[in-house]
Amino acid sequence: MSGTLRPVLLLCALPAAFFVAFFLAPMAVVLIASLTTAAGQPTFAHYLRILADTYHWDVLWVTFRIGALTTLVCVLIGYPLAWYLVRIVKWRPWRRFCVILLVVPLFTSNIVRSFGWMVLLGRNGLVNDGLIGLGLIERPMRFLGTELGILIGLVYILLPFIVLAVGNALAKVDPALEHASADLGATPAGTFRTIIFPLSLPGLMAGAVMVFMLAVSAYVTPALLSGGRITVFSMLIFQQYSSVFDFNYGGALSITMLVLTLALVAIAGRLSEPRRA
Amino acid sequence: MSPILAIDGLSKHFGGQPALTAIELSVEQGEFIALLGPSGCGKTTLLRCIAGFLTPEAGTIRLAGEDVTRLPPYRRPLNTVFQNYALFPHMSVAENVAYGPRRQGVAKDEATKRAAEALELVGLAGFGERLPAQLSGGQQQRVALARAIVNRPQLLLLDEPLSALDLKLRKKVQSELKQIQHRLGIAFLFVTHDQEEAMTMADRIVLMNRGRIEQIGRGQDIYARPATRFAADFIGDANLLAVNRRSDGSFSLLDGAITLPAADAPQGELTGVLRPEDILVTAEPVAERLALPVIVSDVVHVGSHASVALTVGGSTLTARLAPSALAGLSVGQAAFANIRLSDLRLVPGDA
Repeated sequence: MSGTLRPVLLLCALPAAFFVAFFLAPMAVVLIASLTTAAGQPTFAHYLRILADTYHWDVLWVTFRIGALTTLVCVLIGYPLAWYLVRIVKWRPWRRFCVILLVVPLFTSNIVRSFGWMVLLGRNGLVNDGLIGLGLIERPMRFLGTELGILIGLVYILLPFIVLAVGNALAKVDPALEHASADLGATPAGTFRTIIFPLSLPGLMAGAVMVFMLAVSAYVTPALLSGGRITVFSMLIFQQYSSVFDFNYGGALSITMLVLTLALVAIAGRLSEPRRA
Repeated sequence: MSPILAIDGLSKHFGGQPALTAIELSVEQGEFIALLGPSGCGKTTLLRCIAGFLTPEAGTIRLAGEDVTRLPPYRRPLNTVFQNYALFPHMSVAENVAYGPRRQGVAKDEATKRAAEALELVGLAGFGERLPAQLSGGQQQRVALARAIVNRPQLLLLDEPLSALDLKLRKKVQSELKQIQHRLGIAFLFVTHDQEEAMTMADRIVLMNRGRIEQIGRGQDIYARPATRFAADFIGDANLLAVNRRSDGSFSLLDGAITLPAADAPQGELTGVLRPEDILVTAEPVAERLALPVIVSDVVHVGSHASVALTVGGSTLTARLAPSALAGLSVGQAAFANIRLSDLRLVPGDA
């Protein structure tokens, strides 16, 4: 018995050890730090301090607002884009090229791409030049240091996630179902509303949750594009760890953010759940 | 009464390759038609043109007198049972069946009522709340049928609807399908590659090959009087004999063993068709038949009958005999194959 069980246990031990070392242990360290004083005494003081401080609530509000808007814009742009790639493009090389174009930025650093947007969105950047050239605005618009600038940067970085998730879901919808729907008298719009959209909804939700979590926890892009004028929650955490060196308070902030994000995602998941799971 | 479906000069190409050529077909109300042919013969393409998923390059399709050739599928007054059923996985069985009436603008209560009736008709009353994935293949097939008949179309298209079922279940569903068709009086256009299925179910068979209609007729008529070599070969078993046209106009088969007088036979290459059951194999010649001296080269028992291979000169004939007629026949023995010339048909096509 033990002779056959042993190799199995050994095989399982490796991923388990990996999981503990890289996910569970850091999480535990942060959680324990958030519940102790610098001297190691158990305390809830850090959490009480966060609850009492309205500044933190303002920053949280800004963070989640940017996260929600980023998710919304990503969905509004990403769904049609995924539709285009999966349903409209018939020529395979062009589709492949589009997907590569979409995925390749994921291989480059966030920092590089955010700096790129700083250049593009600056007073004399390409975006302002273009808008002035088209006569849409007279004076250069402020992007850097505004929520709009951060939004543009985050949408750009997170869009591939939603396109890939939705595209995958759309590709899995059996074309025979659309034929059946049309055969039973549904117009193309009716077929989309009653068949294709509901069947792609799980993919859309998965993509949206991913985008939302990455948007609220993003640090590099908001930090670079905010120009120091806007603070999101991850910056507060970063300050505590890197400047103030208060790991306990930083830990409490991290856990607060984690719990709130998961709660929001759970609520969104419950709301969008189909009638029958 | 005008036909429910009238197809005139229909042609369809795929990238220059003809998929359908000059199709002419008329279906009467309440008829059960089988579109029969080997895979790639164009039967499914024809069905898709009728349903509206493909647009033909030439020809017209009329439904109940109205030209629907250019109409999108959702404007055509017919319904389809798809090969793999294409049930909506996110809807309950009742919602699947009520989908058609709902899209036609029927109120929800009324649509639900009609769905329940259709489900009862196919023997699935009480299954409405389940999801398609919770049903067996045979049950899914019934749901697909209920969904397709709930709107009471005058024409129902069925795209190999039984091909995913096992043999025993298929036989059962065949007779149920026929009963339902009879009860509703809906014309069925049924695509199949199974000649036995076509023979047992259909009022008329439309036999297709290489994008063309080879023959239209009742199953037993096509069997008895095949119009082409393909029809003779595809429906039932047949001995296909090469035909030589002599200079005096008469025909010679089996290297001159059989001579047929000059007749108003079609021009071009001909094939002689002789059904295996029309050959009597005996030790002595039988009166009033043409007796061909043969050698018995093989005897295969197939339960209800035996298949006997006979060598005539350089050719082989197959005869079908009742087991009782086998007495005294053994492999290698000389015998006589007794045929009636009236059973031998000349049809166009190269043997």
